Amino acid sequence: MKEILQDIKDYLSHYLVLFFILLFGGIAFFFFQKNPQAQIVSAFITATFYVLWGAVHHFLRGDLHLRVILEYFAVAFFGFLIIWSIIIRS
Amino acid sequence: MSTLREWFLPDPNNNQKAKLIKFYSLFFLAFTFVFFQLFLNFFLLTKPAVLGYSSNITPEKIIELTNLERVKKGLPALKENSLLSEAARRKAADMFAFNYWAHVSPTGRSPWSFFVDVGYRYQYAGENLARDFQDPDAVVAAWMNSPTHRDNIINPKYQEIGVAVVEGTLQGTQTTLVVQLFGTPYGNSTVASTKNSPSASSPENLPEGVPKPALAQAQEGQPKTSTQNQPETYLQETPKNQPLISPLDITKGMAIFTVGILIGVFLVDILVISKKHTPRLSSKSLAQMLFLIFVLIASLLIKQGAIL
Repeated sequence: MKEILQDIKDYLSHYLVLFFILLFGGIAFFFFQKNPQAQIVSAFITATFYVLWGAVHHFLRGDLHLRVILEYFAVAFFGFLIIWSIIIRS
Repeated sequence: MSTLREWFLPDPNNNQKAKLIKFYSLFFLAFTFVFFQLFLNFFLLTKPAVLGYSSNITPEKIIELTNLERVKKGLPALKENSLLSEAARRKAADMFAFNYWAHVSPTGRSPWSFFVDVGYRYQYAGENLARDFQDPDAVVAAWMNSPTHRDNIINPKYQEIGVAVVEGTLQGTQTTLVVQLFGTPYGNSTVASTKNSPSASSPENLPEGVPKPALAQAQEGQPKTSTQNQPETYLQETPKNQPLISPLDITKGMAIFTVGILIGVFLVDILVISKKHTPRLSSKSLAQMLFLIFVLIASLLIKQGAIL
């Protein structure tokens, strides 16, 4: 746990950016509750910025690798797909 | 047992990362989810009685629940009017035909023109819309939770009601539309008194955001009976049978279950890797977990049904 806290401390600005990406994504999603298409766009933008955040974060850390980007992309893709599926069913 | 462990816990056999959260597993999960959705669509078409959108909303039930809300406020129950019901059916047909979800159609057609088309001469009129709800209680509850829709339901000026529940495809989605029209016939001056008389003085009470139509005042003389722009009546009234399983519930349940497990695996990954001080080239599990929490919250926020 100490290691995680140290990592957050070392890259506080990075994690703050991530926090705000997800926060704004969440607020936009909530705000557009009556507009499913806008919700899909909000989720897509959040997922895209999330992958970009991962790329920039690891680039600045000096451990950027294709596999790392694929991991971020996979989670973002999976997450967006889930939100999109539920919205089109609702 | 060790194989199962490899899927959920980081250890030397899986290169210090649980197989479930490796990128290939996540892609596999994503594509499995896509195939599952396609399977659901196929099942919806072939077994609509088992898997489908709930259709236990009936106009009678909506009217009954609406009147229940009025009675609670000490107002007289609304009488069902067949002309208003026909106007509601035409409004729903128009929404499907011109593919819109609004009070006023893209061609500029107001709700009040449907009253006129069926020959209902009104003194006061109002409209509530709902789509994609599973049961009538949820529809009326959603309306009652919205001040503008509630104002229509408990408006003492209204004396009659017409409701249509129609299924079709709206904006590319299979939809159940509920159109609720209120009216007071022209020349009928008996307006119920109430303790909670709404402040709105306009004879027509539209939910907010809808421009007040030109037909705001009671019409003199015979109303128009034009039927121009009438869509073909290809729509079907909602059948009474209720499917056993909702595709939304299945999708939502499956999504929440999968995301929940992934969050758990990422959390375990954070704890184990942090404890062992294992160096590795990998994405940040904390970030991955935070994103999945966002997905989980978003999934829970998505509710069935919309009102207008």
